[in-house]
Amino acid sequence: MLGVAVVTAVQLTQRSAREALSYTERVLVGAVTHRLVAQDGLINEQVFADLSLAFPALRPLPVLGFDAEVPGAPPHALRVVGLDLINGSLPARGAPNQSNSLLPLLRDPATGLVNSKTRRALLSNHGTTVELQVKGGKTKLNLLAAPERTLALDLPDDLIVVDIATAQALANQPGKLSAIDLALPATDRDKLAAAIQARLPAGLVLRDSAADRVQQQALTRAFETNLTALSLLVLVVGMFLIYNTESFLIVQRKALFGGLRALGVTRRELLIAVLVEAGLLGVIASIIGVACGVALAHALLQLVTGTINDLYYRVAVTAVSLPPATMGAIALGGVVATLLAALSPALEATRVPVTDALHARDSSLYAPAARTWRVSVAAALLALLLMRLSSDNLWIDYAALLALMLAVSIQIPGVQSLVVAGLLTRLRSRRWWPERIALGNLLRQRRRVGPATTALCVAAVVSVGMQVMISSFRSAVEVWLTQLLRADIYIAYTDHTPREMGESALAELRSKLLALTEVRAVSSVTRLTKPGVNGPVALIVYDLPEPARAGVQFIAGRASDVWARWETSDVAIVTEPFAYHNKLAIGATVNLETPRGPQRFTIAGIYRDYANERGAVALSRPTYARHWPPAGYSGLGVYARKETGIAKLRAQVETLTTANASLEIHANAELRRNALAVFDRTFVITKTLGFLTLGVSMVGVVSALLAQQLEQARQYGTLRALGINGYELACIVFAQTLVIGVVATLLALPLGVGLGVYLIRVINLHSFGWTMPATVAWRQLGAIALSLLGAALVAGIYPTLRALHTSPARALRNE
Amino acid sequence: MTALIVGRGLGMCYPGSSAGVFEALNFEVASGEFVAILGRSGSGKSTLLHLLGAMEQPTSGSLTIGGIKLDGLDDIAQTAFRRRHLGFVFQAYNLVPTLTVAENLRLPLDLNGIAEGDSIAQMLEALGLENRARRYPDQLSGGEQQRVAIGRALIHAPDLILADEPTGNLDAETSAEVLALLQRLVRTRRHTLIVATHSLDAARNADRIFQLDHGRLVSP
Repeated sequence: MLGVAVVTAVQLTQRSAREALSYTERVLVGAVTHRLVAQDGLINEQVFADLSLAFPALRPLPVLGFDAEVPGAPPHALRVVGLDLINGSLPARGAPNQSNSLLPLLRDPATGLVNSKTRRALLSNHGTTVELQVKGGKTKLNLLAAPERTLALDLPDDLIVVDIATAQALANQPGKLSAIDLALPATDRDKLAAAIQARLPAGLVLRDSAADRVQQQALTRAFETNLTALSLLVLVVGMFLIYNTESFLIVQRKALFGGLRALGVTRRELLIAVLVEAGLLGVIASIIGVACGVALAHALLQLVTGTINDLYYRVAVTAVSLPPATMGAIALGGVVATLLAALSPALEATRVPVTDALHARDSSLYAPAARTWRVSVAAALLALLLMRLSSDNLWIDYAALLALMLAVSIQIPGVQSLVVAGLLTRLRSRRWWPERIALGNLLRQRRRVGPATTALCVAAVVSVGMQVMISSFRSAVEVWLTQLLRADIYIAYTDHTPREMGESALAELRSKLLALTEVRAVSSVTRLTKPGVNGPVALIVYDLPEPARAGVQFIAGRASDVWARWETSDVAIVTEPFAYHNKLAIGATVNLETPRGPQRFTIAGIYRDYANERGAVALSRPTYARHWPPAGYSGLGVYARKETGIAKLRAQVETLTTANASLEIHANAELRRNALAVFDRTFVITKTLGFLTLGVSMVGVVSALLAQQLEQARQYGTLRALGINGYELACIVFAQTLVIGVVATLLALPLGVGLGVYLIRVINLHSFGWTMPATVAWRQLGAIALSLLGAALVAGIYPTLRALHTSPARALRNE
Repeated sequence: MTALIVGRGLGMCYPGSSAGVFEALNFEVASGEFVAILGRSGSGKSTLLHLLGAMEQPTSGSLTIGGIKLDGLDDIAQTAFRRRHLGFVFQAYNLVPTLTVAENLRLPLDLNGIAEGDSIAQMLEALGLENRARRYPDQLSGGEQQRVAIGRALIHAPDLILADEPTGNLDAETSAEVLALLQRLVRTRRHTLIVATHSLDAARNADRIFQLDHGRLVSP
């Protein structure tokens, strides 16, 4: 049930986040097939007029979008989108024109349309207007709630729709557009697109929206795969527990099965009966699990969208989507998992000799462990085969990982037995009878306790593995940032500043900074997207003065060779993910579209970069200038002279930027801290899933200990009758829990480190194209080990309390 | 002979049950005496044995064993009493399956902090199980297991041995052997023995027989 709940929650969360993305898009652009954008900056409105005249049947739709905030309120980004309401771009999308309700948007230039929820949230003071901070300035906007069913689709949260003219006024961008949407007919779509592209002025690109969507989906695919795989691991842990429970149920009813067999019930009929029972339990548990998963999804949704917002793009989503097909598939998966886990115990039930069963002996429980090594070897071989097959297919990677975990995990009960037997041998000569009884029970009931230990161990392996991966990643990012961020002060324009405005402010500031005697050097960066052979390419244009160059960590290529040719030749340096995903090496070329046609850039170096998983190509500014018109600046780095104090320099920079609210200033350490904060937020969801897995396995330990107690009732009653008090009995139960916890911990640490290395070397590499050294944070591993032991001991509390209050008379009476 | 056990007006009624298991039982058992409690299934034999074994509290009356008043003892005191003064033999042997024969015998010694000395070896010899010391219970026959249980009940020299259907799981021949062993060891060591049974054979050699019938002790 818990496994199904976690899988449901993760699937729903991901789907909801995904739907939020496409929903926002559908609300705004409807059946748009192409989007016209400027490579650098905004589009002149004249382009829209020209297109309307040249292609009147297409009815191009102008768009201007930007972010806004409510000043004084906690940071909460709102999206303002200006559309051409006169041409009916909003209501005309699949709904009858009901523009009456939208007339105020046209009539009053300071009016925006939001959904009721957003309106309530923004107008907390019962007014009708809200003050917004837009592009560094403040403005008031009258908010209307979109009447229900006025639009083809409900507006998403935190979205304000205004008329295009209002948007231009708010953004102080008269005559400017951020995009022009086009709905090209299916027939001759490519020809038409080519004709439009031919008419466009330089610097404008017509993008296939479908291709853009595919690319956006690819962005989150790796992230989703990782979450899905993690949630499936929880299900696997749950399967161990189902196996455990089913074994217990069968052992408890061996006399019944023996009686049925004696009455003539065939093995097949018995097998079917047991499996039907398991299936029914699976159905009930899966239904409850799906319901719990929906509740859990609400909590996870914030974590997932938080990560997507930090890493990819802003998503406004608060509702959990409930597609019946997805939930049905997950519930079915839960039932199948239950049946698979129950199959082995069910087969065991059919193999019980009638005479043995009628004696109700639980000899099968004490039977020596099956020869599991064959399964282990087969699973290990399968894992090796899958690893060889996988190039960058994440699912094959995870299948290999699962096979590897199967190979190892089914040996855990055996390893535990060896450890316990060894301890028993050492304790035999001592008078520690409670420990001897505890260990003896563990040894004899290995088939009961083994799966619980395995579940706990697998959960711990996942936690340790995640921790190793995350700490290695964090450590690598920290080192990378420390080396990369060499400037003393960084300046960039704010998210709410239009590109052109920000770039011009930075250009002006750069000139002033260079004139300061306290400044040793100024580096600059410009982030662009250029058409490449396989789609758009993230292009970074750098001014890298001498002190900044030391921050570039080359994985391939010699730094001295790169810098010798950096500004004078058509060379590029590419990030590690770019080289990995495009299978490029030193000496290979990158083709980029320039105003004069395609241009090849030779790769002189591959450098470490954890900022963009898709990768980027970097050129020097002089190289860029040889092929494109000059570009503005996205950010500046200021290097102070040795004798200049950072505080003093910062004060000077702040003085220079006082008049410009569109610029943000960050000290080196501050920027690093912010970056690591985003990193930490990214992995909150992963850690949460790790804890959930541990929680599921704890339930397993509790149930195993309780089941064991049920079976041991007679023994416990006898011990109490012989004069063992409740505390001594509790010690026996607690000692068992402790052994389970210690064995699980001792096995989980090395196995978890192995998993972490696999995640780093295989999964991360194939997902993102990043390499990093595996570093083990022993202190954190120690904390995990302690928490694991704590989890085992917490799991033992209830069974221990039950033991503490065991009544000898009752236990013996019920034997 | 002094009375080891004194029961006065002893009554027992389980919570939720309208009728009591028994009521107003009065009896005395002398030290070194062998008493058999006879009765049909459900007559309250085991319940009386549980009261004598300080595992349950009577709902009325008083029970004193060796001068210790059992009614009113808390769980800790009851446990300490059982540990020191009682030995149990159960119908299903109830040996600790994870301990060897010798370890099962050693358990009461460990619990009472009694030095092992050669008492285990002597007991094994007395039980005729010298070559079974390292075996586990499930490696023994039913008769052998019950002999070990008898040894475990006697080894720490308790004041009172309580046996609940000690031959209930054994065949006639083995039952006779086990009973003979139990009686011989108890007589030799001057223990007081109370056996609850529905078998007249098992009760034949008792010094006295208590017959439980409809909640009362009657003469057999």
